[in-house]
Amino acid sequence: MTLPPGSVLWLLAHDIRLAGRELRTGSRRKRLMLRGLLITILLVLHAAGYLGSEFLVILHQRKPGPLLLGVSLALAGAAMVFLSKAISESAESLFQRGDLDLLLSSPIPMRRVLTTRLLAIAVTAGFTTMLLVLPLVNGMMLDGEFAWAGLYPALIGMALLAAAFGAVFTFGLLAWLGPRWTKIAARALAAVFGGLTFVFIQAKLILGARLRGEIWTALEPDGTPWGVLWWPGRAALGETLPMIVVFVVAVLAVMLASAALGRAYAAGVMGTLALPRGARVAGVARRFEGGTLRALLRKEWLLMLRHPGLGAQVFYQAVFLVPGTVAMLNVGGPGRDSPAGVVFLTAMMTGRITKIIVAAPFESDQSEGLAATSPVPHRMVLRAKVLVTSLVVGVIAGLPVLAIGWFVAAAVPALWLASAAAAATRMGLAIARPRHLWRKGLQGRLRVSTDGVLGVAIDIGWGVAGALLFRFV
Amino acid sequence: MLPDPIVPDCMLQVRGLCKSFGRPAVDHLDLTIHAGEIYALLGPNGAGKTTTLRMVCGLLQPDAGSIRIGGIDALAEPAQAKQITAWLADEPLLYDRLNPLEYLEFVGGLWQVPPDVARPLAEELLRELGLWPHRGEPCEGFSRGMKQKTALAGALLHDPALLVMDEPLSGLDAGASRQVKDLLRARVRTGRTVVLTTHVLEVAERLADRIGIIRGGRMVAEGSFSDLRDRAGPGQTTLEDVFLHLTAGEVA
Repeated sequence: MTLPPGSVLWLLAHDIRLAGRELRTGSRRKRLMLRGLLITILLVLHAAGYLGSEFLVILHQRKPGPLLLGVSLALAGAAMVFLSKAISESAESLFQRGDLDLLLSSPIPMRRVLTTRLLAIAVTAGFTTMLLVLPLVNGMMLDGEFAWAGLYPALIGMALLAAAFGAVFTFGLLAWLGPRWTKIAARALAAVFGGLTFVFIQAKLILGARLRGEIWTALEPDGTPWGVLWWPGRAALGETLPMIVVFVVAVLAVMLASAALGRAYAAGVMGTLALPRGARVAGVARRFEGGTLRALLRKEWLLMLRHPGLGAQVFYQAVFLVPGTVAMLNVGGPGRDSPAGVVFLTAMMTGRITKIIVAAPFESDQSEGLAATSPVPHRMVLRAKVLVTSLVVGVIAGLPVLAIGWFVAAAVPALWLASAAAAATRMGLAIARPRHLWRKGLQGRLRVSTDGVLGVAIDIGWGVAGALLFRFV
Repeated sequence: MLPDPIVPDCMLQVRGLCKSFGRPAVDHLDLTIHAGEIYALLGPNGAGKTTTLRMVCGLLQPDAGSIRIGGIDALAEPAQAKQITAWLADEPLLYDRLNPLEYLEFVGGLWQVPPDVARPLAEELLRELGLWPHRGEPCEGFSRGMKQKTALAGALLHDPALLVMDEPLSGLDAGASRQVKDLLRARVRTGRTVVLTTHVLEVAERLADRIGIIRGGRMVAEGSFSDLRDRAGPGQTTLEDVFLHLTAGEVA
């Protein structure tokens, strides 16, 4: 079937083709391995759905209220994931993609391009969750439980709604802050919604059984969930009318967002493509003083301050830390706090945050070759980066150290966090070597990716060791 | 206010065009470019050349002024104006994972070129630009010149009446540069119009029928090379001499 050129579906097919090509990178062997792995995971999930369906059916029959609450909270968590991804994707793909020049110079209406982008954002936002959840649903349907097919329209609807709301948030930021700050603010906003995801996923731990029961009673005193908030959950549990309503409302939301924002989109793209450069001119009186090290320090400091996403990335990690800490404190149930869990989480997150900060001077250095070809020793260049990084790490990663020392009232975890930060700094420096030394191509990418995985593993290991240390020493 | 009168045989008519980014980038610029001519827009860095061309192609919204392309009001009817226009950026961004044929297929779809027209034209353009042997290779491995030529093929695929190009020859070797110039001359002979910017003054001197020199967003001189040479006075024999004379104070 040939799609009409220039139509929404034709543009969407183009985007899907591009995404498909991205997956085709790497050697044939690696691609085959990835496909094999994916098929295995899908088969396992189908089997899990098939085997677990009986348990869910019994639960549905015995405790319909709590099951609906659980499904609704899970859907709310999924919606937050979708929204978080949709916002960060919106800032990226609506205004940053390299093909905007081509599309804007073509006779295709920008509203149509926006509709396509919203659909593509919905696909991107919901892809991973759906990949993990929908095979379970298929498995349950294989066992004859067709009502769970409602999760299809519920999740697709959530993804479409997230794309529409994500675009509205991004356009709001654009109107409020202008193109330069939109991406950064969008990342921060995405981080907040990402944190809310954690809250919803951990709602069971955070709320506790008694509070959950009270909420359910307060929301639905007669036990019948008729409120609009429950409709996605009811759609997921296979009720026909909520299924149709959720899906139709989501499609309408995308259409409305496209219609309302189409004109603003063209203007926004033009504004982004025409960002003025170098508006501020600093005086020269105090420049060029202080020698090589000071010049290097000043440059690293400015690059760190002006890093486009550093604040948002650190904020993103911190947002996960706060609800996570609350959840960890409640893990043992009421009155049985779990400081070891808090130490684990805080040590791990300190490592994550530290490595982000350590990587920043390397990521934002777009002319490493300049220092490499200058007579300045490489050691001095590195020292400047370490000094500036240590200062920022001391301020940002130091806060959890102080906080945990205050709340958990123990010197051991505080010292452990400091050592986690130091270790992460060392690891970060080992990973974040100058980009011109990286080997291009797949091997280079694999190396970077392996380093990243190793970094996460070390953070987790440091967290576990901290928790054990606190527990037994 | 009455609309600007339409100049007959005029492919691009710009009147009172203004754009400011805090300070004026284009300042009440007028341009009249006839069908079937190659027009070179010259000026020092930051003179407003690219900003002007981006406004003509609908990539930037002017603060004031009017733009007519082939008699169509480009600000009131952008889709119709874009249908007969093509834009070639100085650093064209292609899709890395697509090959030139797939890229042209996508561009053909954007401009709604019928497949039976697009297919042979794409082949002809790729052959003419020496890209036919590379038609199945992803663009990510292309040199800058090959990318530039692929983008040029894309710009020519819908046979635009007005071809707007920002530094079209940058990054091209001598052979490729000759290919592109020949292609542009051939287009112009069939009544198409080319507007380009370049910092290589020799290109403008040899290729352009008329040259416009802008400074601070305003037109300071316009005409054929011989007109400009006469205007600049005795002793100014090359376009470089004329350019430096007319933009004195900016290019120091």
